[in-house]
Amino acid sequence: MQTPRLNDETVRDLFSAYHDHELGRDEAEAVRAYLEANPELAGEYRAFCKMIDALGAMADGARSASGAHTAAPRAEVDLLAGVQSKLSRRSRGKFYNDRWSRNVGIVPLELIAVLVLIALIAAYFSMTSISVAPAPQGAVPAAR
Amino acid sequence: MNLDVEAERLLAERLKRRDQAAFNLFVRAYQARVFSLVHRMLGNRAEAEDLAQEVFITVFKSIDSFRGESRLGTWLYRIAVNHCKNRLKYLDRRMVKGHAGLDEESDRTLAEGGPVMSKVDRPDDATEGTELESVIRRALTLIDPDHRELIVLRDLEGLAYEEIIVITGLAEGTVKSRLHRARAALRDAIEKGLGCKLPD
Repeated sequence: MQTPRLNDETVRDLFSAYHDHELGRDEAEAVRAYLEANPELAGEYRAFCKMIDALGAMADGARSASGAHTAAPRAEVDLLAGVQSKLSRRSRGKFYNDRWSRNVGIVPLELIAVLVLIALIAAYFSMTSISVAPAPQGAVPAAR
Repeated sequence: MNLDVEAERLLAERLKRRDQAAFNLFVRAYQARVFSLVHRMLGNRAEAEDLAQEVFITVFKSIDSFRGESRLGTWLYRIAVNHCKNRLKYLDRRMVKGHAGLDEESDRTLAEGGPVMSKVDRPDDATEGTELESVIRRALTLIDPDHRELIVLRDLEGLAYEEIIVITGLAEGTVKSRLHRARAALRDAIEKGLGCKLPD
């Protein structure tokens, strides 16, 4: 593509695309050469980049020099309880009507059910396996 | 938490069955991202929390319309952005836009307008970046919401152009030209706040 004749204004209009590597090779090269020849505009471009870098630094996924994003902590927020409450109210109890369907932490309900079942089975077997000792011979029933 | 494509597909299927456990997982997985986006768009924590909850409720109600043509996360962002635009219009009508709607942090920045400028002007000041961020945060609330939307998506959320196109429904050329105008508007707002050109 033929690169149009550049001046300060057209180069300024290309700052954004040049920064994001969205220009074609020839156009990018022309902008680079123009900035090299115009130190004042190059300073303006550096300030523009600094602003975008500052935006990146504000972002939770701060951009590393390689262009990759690193995970950074986001604002602490827990929306689940509020969402469940609103859904329960607006669905007139159709969804999230009981507290067990709500926020139960990180342990899934299925696991809780299995554990309760195991506990019940264990309790049953422990009760049936208790041996009843026979009454000693000659013992007289108390009621007599 | 970032879910891969297959995990998102399975999750979407469970959401369509109105699986409440899946919905809990979904909210936990995406609440930070949604809140972050909404907070940056609105500039007010209380409003952002309320609106982020509404975003998830909309997902719950309209998951059947998700056809899987984009990623679940991208679709969620689109809902969040639309909610933000509507809420901004509503707040605008209620005249709580701008100064009155800002967080304390932004208010503090406003109050410190003078000192911020002098600190940013010192090139070797260790706090320079932080102060510039404060000015930028303030300036972001002053620019047009359509411009803010693109800066938040591209420069703050770090999304690719392809994702922004899906989320906003804009053509590629429009995204690029509008993003350029948005950054230029932000630069102007920052320079207006500083009272001088951005230091290079």
